Amino acid sequence: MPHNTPDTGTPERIFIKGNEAIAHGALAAGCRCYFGYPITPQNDIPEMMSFALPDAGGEFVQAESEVASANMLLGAAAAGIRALTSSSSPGISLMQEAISYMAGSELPGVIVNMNRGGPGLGDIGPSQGDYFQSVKGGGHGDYKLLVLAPATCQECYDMMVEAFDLAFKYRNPVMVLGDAIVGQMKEPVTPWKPAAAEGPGSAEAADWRLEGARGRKPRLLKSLFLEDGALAGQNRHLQAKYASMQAEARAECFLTDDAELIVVAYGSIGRIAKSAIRKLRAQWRSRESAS
Amino acid sequence: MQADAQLALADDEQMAFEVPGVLVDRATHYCPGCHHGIAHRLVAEVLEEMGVVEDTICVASIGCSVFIYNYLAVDSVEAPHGRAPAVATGVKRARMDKIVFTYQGDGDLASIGLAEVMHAANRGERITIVFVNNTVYGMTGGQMAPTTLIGQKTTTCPGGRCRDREGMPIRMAEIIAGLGGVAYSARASLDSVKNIRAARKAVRKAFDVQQQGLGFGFVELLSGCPTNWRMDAVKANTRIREEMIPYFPLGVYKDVTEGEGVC
Repeated sequence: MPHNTPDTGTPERIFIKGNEAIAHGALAAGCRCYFGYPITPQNDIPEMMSFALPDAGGEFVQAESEVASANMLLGAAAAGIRALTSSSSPGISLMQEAISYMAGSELPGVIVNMNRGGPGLGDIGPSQGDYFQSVKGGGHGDYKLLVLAPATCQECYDMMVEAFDLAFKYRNPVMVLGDAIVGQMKEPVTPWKPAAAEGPGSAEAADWRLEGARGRKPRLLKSLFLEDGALAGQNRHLQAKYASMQAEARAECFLTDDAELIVVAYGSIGRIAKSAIRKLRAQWRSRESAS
Repeated sequence: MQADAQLALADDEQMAFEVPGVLVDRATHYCPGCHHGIAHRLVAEVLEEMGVVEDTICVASIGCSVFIYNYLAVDSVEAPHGRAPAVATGVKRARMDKIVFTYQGDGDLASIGLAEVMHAANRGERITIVFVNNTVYGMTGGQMAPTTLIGQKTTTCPGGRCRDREGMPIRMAEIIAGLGGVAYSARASLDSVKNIRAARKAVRKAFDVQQQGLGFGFVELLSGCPTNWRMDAVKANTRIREEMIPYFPLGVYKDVTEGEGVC
């Protein structure tokens, strides 16, 4: 089997790019719809999904814009399907409108951002300039996403599975935030199949998804709350949910027990920081032994 | 009992139509003389006639039309301004077995949402779009729309729309008919009983082509907005006949069931 053919059930190591690991992980997680628009440095994701998703019984759409991609994600989410879009920084800016609507309507979906340099057109190299538009909401209104930041290709795979689980657990958009380094580097990845890969007709969205009002009252997914006090109530509800999402915050601690100075970083830069700390510690030890 | 007696039909009266069960019995927020109520009823009648009420998902747009979900008892999702065709694409791709439709006004569809509607049409998404064209932004107070007629006064073209300054009104049914994946595109009017009957047939056809998997179904409904046109309902109907229909000709612009193929 060629290396770039997703096979989510094989527990062998495969040598793939971070972007490819994103696609493999999404398929393993039960992703059934992908919507996207070309932008460097994440094109491997739509390219892989375009041939892998139809085989997995899913739908791939190359949208007319990132604006449309994100709104297609909103639609598939409303149907209770595990769906994905991916882009890079300028495209993520265009998606913020729909992401705000998804947060306001409490719709789960996964958005991958392979961060490139900005502002404006910037460049196509790695950057972490989207930190604020990722973790502070990004669009209009008070809302938050859960953001997962892979540093390795294996984490790209693993965090995609986790991203879908979290999106449906909290009925909230989840962003996987990488960059041009994470997306473009190749590493060995061990694919694994989650125990309960969700898909169409699964139970996780059964009490809210749209499927036609058969034998029940119609459902309405919306972010418009005009009645007196209704929006304040919705925002209190959302803020309580965001507070509960704090339970998902996690960090890898590396040599922090005896540290006098702690470097805090995420993703590819977190990995570089670890290398720097290893080198500095070695230098410090050699100076200690010399003196 | 007395009220029932008063409501009963007199000998020389007959019931023109029954209210569809899928229409919610509640007070309307639409202005007197507005045609949204008629457009809602046509959609409701068609869904019931086709027996698909319980398999239908409505995508609401932004404008007066957003509140369709208050009147139509089907599963609904609210789309951002202009994005309803993209949202409907997502819903349909997730559930190809369902009937999915959007209900959009002219500002939403023909201005901010032009890219989404044209590409959904061109891809041949198996969705239906009900496009209500009343030549103004209604909910925001009567600003100029992409379909505002030349010379028509609005709050943002107070001297009347000028071709050299604001361009010509956009004819959507014709534009949509020219795109690849379209199975049906038509324009009808809600100004008179005769035209409403024709509109009902067009709405039905726009849903039929979706159900049959033939492609994208589009129906434009010329409608009145007496409040923002600053005229009474009767004059608004007259305006549709005398000013709108000459520029927006009624008719079927594409119908693959009449022999023209779709890819």
